[in-house]
Amino acid sequence: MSILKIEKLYKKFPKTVALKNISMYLTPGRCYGVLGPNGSGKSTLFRLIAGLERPSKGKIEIFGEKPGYETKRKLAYLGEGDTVYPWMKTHDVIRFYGSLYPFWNHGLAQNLVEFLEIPRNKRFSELSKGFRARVKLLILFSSGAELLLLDDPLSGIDPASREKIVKTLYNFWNPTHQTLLVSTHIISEIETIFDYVYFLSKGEIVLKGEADDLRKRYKKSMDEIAREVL
Amino acid sequence: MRFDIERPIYLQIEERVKGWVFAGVYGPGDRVPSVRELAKKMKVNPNTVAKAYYELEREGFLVTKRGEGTFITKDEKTIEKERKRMLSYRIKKFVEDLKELGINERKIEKIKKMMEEI
Repeated sequence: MSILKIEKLYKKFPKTVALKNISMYLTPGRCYGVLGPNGSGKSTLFRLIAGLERPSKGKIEIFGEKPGYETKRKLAYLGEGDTVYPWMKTHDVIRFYGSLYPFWNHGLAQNLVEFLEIPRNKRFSELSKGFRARVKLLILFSSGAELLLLDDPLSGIDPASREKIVKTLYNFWNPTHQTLLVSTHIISEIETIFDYVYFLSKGEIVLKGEADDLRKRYKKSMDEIAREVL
Repeated sequence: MRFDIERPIYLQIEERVKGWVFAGVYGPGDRVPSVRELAKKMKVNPNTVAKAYYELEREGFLVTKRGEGTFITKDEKTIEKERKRMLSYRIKKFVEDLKELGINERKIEKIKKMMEEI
């Protein structure tokens, strides 16, 4: 069964076409990358999958259903914006999101607070951007959701937090329960996490394939392939 | 662990596991790290480690026992055969390098003989 199926998806805005003829097929327990420069349509694609916007044309199915109330419990989305209430301290975050997600993993949340070195007594609004990103990652991984969407998780983050985020992906991702869809324009730091990659340019998929197959075919790293095709 | 990111990662994991055995880090019948342990340590996708282990099992180099873990084969012939195969592959590459450096054929033959006696 597919976790996510996208068929001939288009998203048009009044002045531009953000996504053209996108088709994707995600199977469980793998890590998929959406690689492309800023403005290539990555965030629009993720917002459509998360159900925050509607497609102009085409079909999105998550666990066989259209994005909506039912699918929202099965996926967790980490985007550019700060969705956490500014007054929340760490234990508020855990209590609030713990009640929101039906399969919240409390033990994992506690481990992640430790691993990510999140200060317990600071409000979300008092944290630096890097630490706000860590809190958002804590929510994502503890959610118990089967499909995790990470939209450019390293963008604009300081090196220390970037390293923590990358380590969290490698240490806490559990392929038996979770499928990852990660978009990024900083490829080199997480290039060994991907099973399969889609290269996105100007709203279109210009290349896709198994990461190791592409390495074999091009004798190049994902980062270098991106520079060639994008 | 650092990878050559221009080559398939799973192949490099296979080579690494074999390298451990040749270097004596693990002996025949020893338990190797689980897929998840190794993925964490190497900072790679667990699916990639699983693929490498799968290939190594197919070659008879690793054996997985349900509920117990993954082990180096006890069959030393398999290990020795693989060691010889990798050695001859490396020698072949080395000889190519020597040719590129302009070492003459006679000397290369001499060096090759010496290495094959290892």
